[in-house]
Amino acid sequence: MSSSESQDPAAAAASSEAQVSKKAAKKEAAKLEKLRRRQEIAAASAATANLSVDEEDPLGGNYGDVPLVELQSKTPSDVGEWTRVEALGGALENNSVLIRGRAQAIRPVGKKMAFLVIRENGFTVQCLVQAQPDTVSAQMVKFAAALSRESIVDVEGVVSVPTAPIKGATQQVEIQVRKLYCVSRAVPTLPINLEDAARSEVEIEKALQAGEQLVRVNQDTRLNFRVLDVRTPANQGIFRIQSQVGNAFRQFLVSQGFCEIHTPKLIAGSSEGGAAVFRLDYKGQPACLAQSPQLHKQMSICGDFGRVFEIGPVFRAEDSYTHRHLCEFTGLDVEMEIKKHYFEVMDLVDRLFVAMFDSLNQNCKKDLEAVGSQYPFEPLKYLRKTLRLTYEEGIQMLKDVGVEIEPYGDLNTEAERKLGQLVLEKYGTEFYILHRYPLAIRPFYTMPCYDNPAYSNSFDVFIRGEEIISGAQRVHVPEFLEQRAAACGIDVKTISSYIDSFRYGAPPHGGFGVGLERVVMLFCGLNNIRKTSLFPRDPLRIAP
Amino acid sequence: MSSSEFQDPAAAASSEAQVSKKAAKKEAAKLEKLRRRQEIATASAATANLSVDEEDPLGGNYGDVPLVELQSKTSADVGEWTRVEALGGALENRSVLIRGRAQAIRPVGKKMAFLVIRENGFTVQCLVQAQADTVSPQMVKFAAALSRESIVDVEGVVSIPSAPIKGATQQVEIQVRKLYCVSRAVPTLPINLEDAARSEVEIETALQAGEQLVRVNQDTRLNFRVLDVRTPANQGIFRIQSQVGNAFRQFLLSEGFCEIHTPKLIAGSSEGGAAVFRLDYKGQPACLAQSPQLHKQMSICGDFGRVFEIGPVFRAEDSYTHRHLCEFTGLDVEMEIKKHYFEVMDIVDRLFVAMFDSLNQNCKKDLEAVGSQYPFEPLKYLRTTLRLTYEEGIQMLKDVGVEIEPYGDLNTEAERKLGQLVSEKYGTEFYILHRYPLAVRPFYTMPCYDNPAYSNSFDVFIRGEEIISGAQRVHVPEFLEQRAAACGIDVKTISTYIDSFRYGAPPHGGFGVGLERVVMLFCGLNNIRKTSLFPRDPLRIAP
Repeated sequence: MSSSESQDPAAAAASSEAQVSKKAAKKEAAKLEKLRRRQEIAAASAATANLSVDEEDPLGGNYGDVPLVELQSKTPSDVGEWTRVEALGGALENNSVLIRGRAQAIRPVGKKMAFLVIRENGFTVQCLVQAQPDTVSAQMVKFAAALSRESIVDVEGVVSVPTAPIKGATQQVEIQVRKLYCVSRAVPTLPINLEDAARSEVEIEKALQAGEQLVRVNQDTRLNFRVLDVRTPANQGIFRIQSQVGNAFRQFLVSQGFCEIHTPKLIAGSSEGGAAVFRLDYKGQPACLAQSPQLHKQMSICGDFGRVFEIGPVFRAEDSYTHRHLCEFTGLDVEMEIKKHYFEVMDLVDRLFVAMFDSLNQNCKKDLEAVGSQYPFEPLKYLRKTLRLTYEEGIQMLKDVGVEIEPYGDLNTEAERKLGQLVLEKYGTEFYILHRYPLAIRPFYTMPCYDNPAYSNSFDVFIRGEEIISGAQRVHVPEFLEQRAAACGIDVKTISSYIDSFRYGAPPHGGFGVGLERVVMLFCGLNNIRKTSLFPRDPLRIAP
Repeated sequence: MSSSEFQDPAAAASSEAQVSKKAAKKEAAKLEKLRRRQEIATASAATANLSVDEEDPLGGNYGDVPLVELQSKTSADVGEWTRVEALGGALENRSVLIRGRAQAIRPVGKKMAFLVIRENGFTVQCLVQAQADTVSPQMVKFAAALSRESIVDVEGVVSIPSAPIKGATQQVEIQVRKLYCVSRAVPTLPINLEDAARSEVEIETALQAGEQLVRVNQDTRLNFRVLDVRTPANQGIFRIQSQVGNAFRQFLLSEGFCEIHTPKLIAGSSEGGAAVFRLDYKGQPACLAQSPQLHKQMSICGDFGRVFEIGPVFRAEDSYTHRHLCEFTGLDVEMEIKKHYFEVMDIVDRLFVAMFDSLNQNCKKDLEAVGSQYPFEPLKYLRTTLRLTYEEGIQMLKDVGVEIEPYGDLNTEAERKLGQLVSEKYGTEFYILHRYPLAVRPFYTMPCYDNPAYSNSFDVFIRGEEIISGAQRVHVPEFLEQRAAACGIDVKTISTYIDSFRYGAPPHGGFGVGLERVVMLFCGLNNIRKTSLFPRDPLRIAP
């Protein structure tokens, strides 16, 4: 990936609401502490209030807060006695079911009726708590109405099929509640409301047109309360898509004879050079965190594994605070022997990603819809055979519309975006490969072109105009590698065990590294990489 | 896992791998000297080969491939290559092109040389025989002058010899017509593959016969890991490890688990303890996660229901034993439970039985390769995994005279002993021990409902050594604060974690598995460094 990155106007605008100065961060921390204390008091009050309800009611055993002792594995579980909300349907009419989920909405109607919407894994069902002699007490209705949103409840009741469609729930049945227990009570006032967090910009704008001001939850607040934020349908969708990306990646590579490896993140010195490394003391020795598994995966090729891949964290101590950079992200790394040409690596990228996109489109329809509901995006356009352009061809396309790139220079974010637009217009694809980059802007281990050493056997891959992959053929000759390292200002002593690994017979090889969070971000047309990192780490954030 | 661990007698087996800092420095100087010698030898070899080409009209049939040819000059038709594995009788009289390592080089006079070429563990014998107009004596000389472990491209005709070929896996021979060296290895390797691949049995047998064969010690192997991992056993170990990861994932995905990636860079020090690596994070103190524990629990609070993660785990312990590393690969699982922590143990049971079945079915060749060098008995496991309580285990030990302090943790020796007793009594080397004393478990562990001195927790063992720690977790924030305080943890440092339980937290539990330990113990190996590709321990941070 590009080591230097200027913040472009679009990125600045998109990230501005998420930026926060250190002073403001401290202020925020104090605010959080205050809020936390208030929540504790409220929780204690709620607990006290509920105690009194139980004492008065002969039907008190049908509802209430579940005491901790019951939740300490007191009774063996028959998981079969539970019904998943997803499974609730007309076929279960008049059956008694037991479900566990979150109280997403609570709406009392008078003193003898209350509606609850219970959510489990994104599926919701409407539950009716209606006072009835000998079955449901008025106190039980009161208990239901007094629940706090996002509390976890166990509901036992009878399934009924209403005549009219149910708008506020996914399941088109209703549960007539007979028993209602609170397993875990949420604080009465949540720091962010799920309804607000799940709202799309379209809804906000529409409401604004109608003169109503709806809450917009900003990115930083979302991250501060990540365990609430990720409960939204879009966020659940994002991380299930991410899980499937990893699965598709692995399954494809295993099918192609690749072996998964795990390389160390703690390394001596500083791999690949550069100042953007996290440093630490390792048992009295200076050490740092790997910026990629690059050197070790190449050593694995020298160790005769032939084809390897790794999925793991990558650490970059850059000060880049942009929409697409993180200090820690998940790398999907591949390395393989080649016979003759670095196109063999690009061939693999092509097939891997077409298979991955097909897999996502087939297996993640619901998740993609959930993301699209909040963050509307067009499905990714990709070709059955991935387009390949040379760097020079790309530069020429930019020149033709008046965008000048310095000779042998790297493309900045703006230029990459522009080129992405041009490629889409001309070739109809938002996924393409740009190869044969100038050697000067590639890492020291990159193999120069046989016919012109100013260029290299390297490539980047783009989705919607943003880079997701850097790859190349590697230098496998130790003497040449030493020259290249020296030319790039790297002290060869610090990487001697890496260079030595090529002295015992080293096959021609190449590979690539993919940013997992970027793949998901761009596939779903999202504007901020923090949306696709479960607990993001950037220059201003190391929590939660 | 146990946070305290003294070095037991088995650790003495690792003594050959221990090295003082002074000796380490000496070793480094030795390596530097060796490296310079190799550079000179390489240059000499290159010069020598140049002269050979000039004299031979058939010189185009062999030689060192110049770098320019290896810079993606010509497109590859990968189909023109034949994998060594695929060489068989069906290809008789066919011309094939293979690429592999020159594992053995044996000249016979001046007109014939045998090469054994290895690719992905498969080997084939190649004959370079001088023939008029086809193979020159200079080519034979070139073949004989190759250094072992060089990478060569061989083009030749497949023939089937009358007698079985002992020194190769493929029972065909290649009559070489063209031979190119793609990457020349140094003439003298720091360790020989033949030595590195040798079993203790072979060494002992040779010793009985009065012959002293080289034994490569563990530290030397790790210093030259890229050579060491080329042995059949090491190739097998890491392919088994890859399959463990694959089986783990496929099983969990089939059970509705979602894979997540949690941060390794965290503020403060998770789970307490001094055994953390600390660093400066943009002006803030930070450390490396000792496990994804807190974040995977936060994911459960975030409604993912069932999650797993595979990633590095960092422990700055000074434990230098056969089974500890400073960085290892954790396989972590967390899930909502309805009623009981047995729901988690049920997953462990089914997951590992499926994994062991998968390894036994899909990794036969790899297991054989490991067993050839490091002989082991196949793991004994039951279709439904045995569960014993801690108290039952303690009683079994007491019955044979081993005393454990009340509510104490089991040390390595006791765990080994209990493993033997369980194997004798129940016929299994894979079992679960649960209901550990609360005092020996982390602060987030849920106490038993009927006796708070015990906990809803478990460890899992293979061949008497722990591979898993798991438990039901405390999901009530007030109780969690109490437990943290009782364990001496400043709750301010984990406030975001505790706060995550205030917004409705389901009962949940989970476990963490050490990947390297699973492979080590499944294969009956004696040192975890054998199952870590590039191990990190208190004395090693390279290669």
